[in-house]
Amino acid sequence: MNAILLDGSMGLYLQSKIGDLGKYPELTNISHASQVREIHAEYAAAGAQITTSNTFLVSPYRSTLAEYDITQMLMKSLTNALSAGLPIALDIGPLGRLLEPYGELSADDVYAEFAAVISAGAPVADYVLLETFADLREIEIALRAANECCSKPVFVTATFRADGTTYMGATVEQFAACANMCGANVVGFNCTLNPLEAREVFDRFKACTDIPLLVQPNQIEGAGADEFADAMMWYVERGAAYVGGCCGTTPAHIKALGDRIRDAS
Amino acid sequence: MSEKLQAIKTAVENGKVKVVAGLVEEALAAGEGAKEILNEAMIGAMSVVGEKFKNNEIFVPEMLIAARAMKKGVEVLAPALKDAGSEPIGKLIIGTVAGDLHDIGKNLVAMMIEGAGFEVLDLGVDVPTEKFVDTLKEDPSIQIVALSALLTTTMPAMKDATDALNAYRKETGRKLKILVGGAPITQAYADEIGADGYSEDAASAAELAKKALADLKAGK
Repeated sequence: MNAILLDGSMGLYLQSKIGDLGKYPELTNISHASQVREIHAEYAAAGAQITTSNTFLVSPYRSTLAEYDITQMLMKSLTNALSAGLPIALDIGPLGRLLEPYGELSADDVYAEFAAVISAGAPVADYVLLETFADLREIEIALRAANECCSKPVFVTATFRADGTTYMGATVEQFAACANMCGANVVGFNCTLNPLEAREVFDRFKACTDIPLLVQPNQIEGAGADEFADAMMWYVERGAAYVGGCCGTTPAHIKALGDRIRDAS
Repeated sequence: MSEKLQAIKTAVENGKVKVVAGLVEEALAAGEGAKEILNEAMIGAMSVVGEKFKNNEIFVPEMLIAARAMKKGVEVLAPALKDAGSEPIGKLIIGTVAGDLHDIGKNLVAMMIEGAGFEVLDLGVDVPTEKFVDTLKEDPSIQIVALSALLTTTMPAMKDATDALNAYRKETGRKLKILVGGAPITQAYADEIGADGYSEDAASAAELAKKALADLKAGK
């Protein structure tokens, strides 16, 4: 078993250290750079093999609202991530605004947002990680932007409920087909579910794609790092290529998981 | 239900944004009552939409489009509703808590609650705690406050807002219900922070608001 270990949550863990993250949490890359670096370092020390940059929310749209320079923000965040000494995944989340006709954004608007972040950030990163998506059209546009604006491997995850649909109605099979068609290098799921709840979702991925799988669920509410790590081994044993944690996971979760992967191999 | 009303209901259910206004005009011209158009056709349609959403037969996009179709119909219907003396069933304010800029879920909840017959005042995103309390002070007809948070990191702001609303309620003795929701929120969290209700999706939120209103009327 040689699953590669990613890190755990940034936002919640940072909040536990510094309190309120403010209206634009990405600004912490500048205002609390030392604490952000400390977290990257803690995950590296816990055994993570890839550092995820603190850039989930960074977008041109938000840079206008919060009055930051997008290139400067990306360089600052990626420099923070680099300090951990590991390969870096440039983290990119969904835009938080919807496409036409159910929302206001045109496909071109969406493309421009992702293209700007990827063009500026990917050259400094080792991978692009598109995560927590729900809308198939937004995923497709983000993947197209990643293909056209950089040459780095692309990881893409959507966030599913236990029944294998996103809140926007995409199924595991549709998402995997989209990732395959758009040439994603790694595909998987994150957030929403904990590792005890996501087994069926994982099985459905395995049944419909040969792309290496990434599993990054949330912590198990009311349970500790060991329970999380034990539950994660179910996925490692079944061939998950990359594993890590989402909301509520900490360096302790990553350490426990890393120890188990090492013991098992 | 008459053919005209059924046509409106079907159009709203299927999110036919462009045809709803015309169908409402036709129905009014044919002598259908404004209240019947609203209650039976439109609110009836949104209730079907909510049910389908809960059963995973449709998803957020279809629900948004249906709500938008209803909105188009209500725009045309508004003057006739006023003439008929039709009143909303209750009044609710909604907002995403301080520090959180997400509005997709909150908008959907607002639309579904409107779709259930409420008057909804949307305070927007990143709403400071004081704004919720000040709005209540300004308008004694508001019965329900709905709070949204999408980020796990803004859950504390939801607690702050709930604390302030509970303090205001205690201080004034005003009858009020506080409802909460959002991706990371659970019933346990709602109980912990002292909210009166939680729902896990927008369709259930509309039912929760109706239940909260009934509880208020029953003196609970």
